[in-house]
Amino acid sequence: MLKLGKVHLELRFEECLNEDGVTRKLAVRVVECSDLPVTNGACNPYAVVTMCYGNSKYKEETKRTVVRKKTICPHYDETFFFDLEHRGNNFDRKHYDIEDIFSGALRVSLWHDDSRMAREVLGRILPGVFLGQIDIPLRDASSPQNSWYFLRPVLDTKYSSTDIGAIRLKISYNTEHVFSSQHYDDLRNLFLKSSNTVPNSSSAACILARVVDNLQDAAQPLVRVFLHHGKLVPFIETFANYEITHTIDHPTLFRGNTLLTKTVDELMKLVGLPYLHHILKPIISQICTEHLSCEIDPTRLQDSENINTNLDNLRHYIDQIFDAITDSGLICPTEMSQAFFTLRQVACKHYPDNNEIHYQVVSGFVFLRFFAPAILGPRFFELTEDTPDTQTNRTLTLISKAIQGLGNLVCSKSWSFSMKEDYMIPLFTQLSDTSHINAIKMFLDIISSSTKAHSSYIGTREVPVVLKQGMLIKRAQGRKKFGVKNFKRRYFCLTNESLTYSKRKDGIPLCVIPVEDILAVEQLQEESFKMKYMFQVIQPERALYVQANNCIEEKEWLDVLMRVSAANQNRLKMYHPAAYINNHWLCCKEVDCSIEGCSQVSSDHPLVKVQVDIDSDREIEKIHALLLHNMEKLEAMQDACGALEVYSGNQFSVPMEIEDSKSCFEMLNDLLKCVIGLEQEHKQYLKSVQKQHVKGSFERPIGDDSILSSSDIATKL
Amino acid sequence: MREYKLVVLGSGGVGKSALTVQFVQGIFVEKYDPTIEDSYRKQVEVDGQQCMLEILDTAGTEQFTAMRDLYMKNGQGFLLVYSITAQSTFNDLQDLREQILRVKDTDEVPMILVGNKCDLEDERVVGKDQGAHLARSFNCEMCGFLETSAKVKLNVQEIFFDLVRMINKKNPETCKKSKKGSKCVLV
Repeated sequence: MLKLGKVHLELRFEECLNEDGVTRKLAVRVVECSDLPVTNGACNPYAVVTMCYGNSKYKEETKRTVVRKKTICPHYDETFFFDLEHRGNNFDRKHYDIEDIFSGALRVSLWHDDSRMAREVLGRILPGVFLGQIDIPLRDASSPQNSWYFLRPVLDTKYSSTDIGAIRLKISYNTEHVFSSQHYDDLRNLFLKSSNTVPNSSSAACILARVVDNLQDAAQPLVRVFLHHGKLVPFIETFANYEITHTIDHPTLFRGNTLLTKTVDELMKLVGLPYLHHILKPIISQICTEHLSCEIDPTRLQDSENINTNLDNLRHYIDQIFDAITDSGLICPTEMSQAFFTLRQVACKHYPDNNEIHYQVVSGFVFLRFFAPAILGPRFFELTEDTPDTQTNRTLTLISKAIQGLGNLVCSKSWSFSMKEDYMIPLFTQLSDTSHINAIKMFLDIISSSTKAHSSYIGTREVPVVLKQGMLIKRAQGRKKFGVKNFKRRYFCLTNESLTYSKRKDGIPLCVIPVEDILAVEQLQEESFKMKYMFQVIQPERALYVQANNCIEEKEWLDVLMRVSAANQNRLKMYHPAAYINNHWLCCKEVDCSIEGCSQVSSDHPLVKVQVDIDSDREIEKIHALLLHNMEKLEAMQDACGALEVYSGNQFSVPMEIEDSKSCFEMLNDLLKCVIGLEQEHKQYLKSVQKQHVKGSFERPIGDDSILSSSDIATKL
Repeated sequence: MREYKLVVLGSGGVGKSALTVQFVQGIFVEKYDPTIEDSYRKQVEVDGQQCMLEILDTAGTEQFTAMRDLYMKNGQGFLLVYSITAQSTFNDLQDLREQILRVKDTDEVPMILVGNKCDLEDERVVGKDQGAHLARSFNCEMCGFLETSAKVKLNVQEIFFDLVRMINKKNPETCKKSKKGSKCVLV
């Protein structure tokens, strides 16, 4: 807002007795101003008070104060009276109604007295530069006012509100007052132990999910809090277990709208958006600009269109998106991979005989809730700014259907599309081949593989996924420091579990390096062995030096090794860019072989390790607000628990389903205690704010409508 | 021939596609394949009148909620499907109905509340009276209620036909307008 200073006014209506009876006057006292703007290095301000009795220009009366010299905070203390009933001879008293007064307005404007500038002010020539003004509708002044007002610039009144139509907006405004951390500890701890609470339905998270109107409101802050405190994996595990035991048939597993599915959904949005953009943005914008027809439904075809051309167009887009997705396994954000791995393990444990269940579970999130909706509604995932036109929309719908169909291809033993719509059959027939099936399986395996997750699970039934293999030259890793360290050609194979090499393809591995032991993967300076295209795989006790055949291969191996080891907890921060030869590191000349590296390791792939700023206190405050808003439901739940305890066994009198009334009652009690405690803090705080800032005071003048300020809220409380 | 735009809505896994495919093609789809958006056309005779039904089978997954507005705007009648074996799918319908009324900007939208999977009586958690009660609370005139089973083909045709009748009741004159086209046959 433009800062034009503020003015302190006092308004009151006065009734005077004279020979005509009672007459009413408006008294306007201009007390003082503050922080007026400086014009040409000077400020000699005076105020003009204009009474506007109606809409007509002639029904105006203007008065002015003296000029105060050289001050931006002038003190006037002048009172002006406006006679509301005897207003001189110019005015037609016959058609005058006292009610009209209240449709009028009082204007106070401030001017800098500058004789060089003569301006017309309200029909009279007054010398000066306009500083600012304030209009006060008189209906607001029916009770005495003594307030500070912000001065404003002159508004362009050329358009009145009736000329240009109306727009209906819905604006919601929230204020959050976040206290310091310790105030939230009790509430936070109640939520953080959600995954350990037995039964699950008595946990704080479950209770929150039960009382909120929209699950997303609960999932959003919960995901952030759990993620911030490293509790997301156990949370997902517990809630997935809970859900799986409550699902009757496995095809609809995790298909409902539950706290778990919302949590994973929010997580994907929180950490996966850059990943999603990386994959889809270029292709989606290509689709939007190329604007090719892809309609393959004969009943919707335009006359001039050829269905085969359209099918080719569609296939082209689908192939691009499919390849982009299935190639992206290694850059899937770690947190997402951890969640998928957890879900997969829970499902496999529960359905040990179902070999497709892990594909179904992971696909049900990453395809059905992530890629497919993003393709169908790119605007909702910030992939486009505008809503695509009808034809593009249809193209995106068809692609989304195909991608979801492909993602679902591996979810049952039959590995086939379900042929529901006739016109989709030719497309699906083209797409259902082993290369597609294998690509999806590999993708789903990689994004949910255990090495990317730091978990105590040992995937017994997992078959490692081969990520890259090929012939490379490696230097002997020499257990002895002075042994002969020669170079040999070996066949390398990297899976999501380990890096191995053998004499030839499919030979017996001579060496197995588990992915957990890969602490860093970096290039090796050429000077070390006078050899090009060398890189090093740093392990706890030693380093493997490998030479690739060319720079492209070197880059590929580096990328894939780095990504596969990205989630290792004990990754190095520093490394030696050169080898240790002749009793010293060639790079830093240090003689101690085990000394920490001298250079920083290359940074993570930005998509894999997403930096999310989370303010745990703020999220807990949001949770507090949710609980407070649903206080009645919490109390009703508590009553239900109480009733269950008293009339134990007689569930009929209780309108709510409570699994374990005792633990649920205790949790509700703790939650309510925290919420009430926090709310008292809020009230106290608001009271103190309210005391400081009364509307119309010097600190908070009237006219500051840019935001609702805290004391407005405080007044309402 | 009068065209009817029908939309099938409901949470994930309640059997919207199973009902639709059972009605259109007369088969029960065994494989579970979450729908993004499928459309079907079927010509039927309802009370002696030939009708072309354009049925839109929609995504139950909540991530698609924001994209529902468009087909809600175009739809003339709605099937709100839940599964009698999952309470949450029943609870989700209130929001869905509100979204329809908001988009249509009227209270008079032909709808039928459908409790699917009624062959799974042993796993029932939503009582028939609950469904009937909800339908009544919506709007007696403009909301029917039936329990169905796509698997054993119970009440499948009925829900679609009832919806067509409801649209006819609400908008009888639209038929005459489209008759100008030439094909509308009145028997």
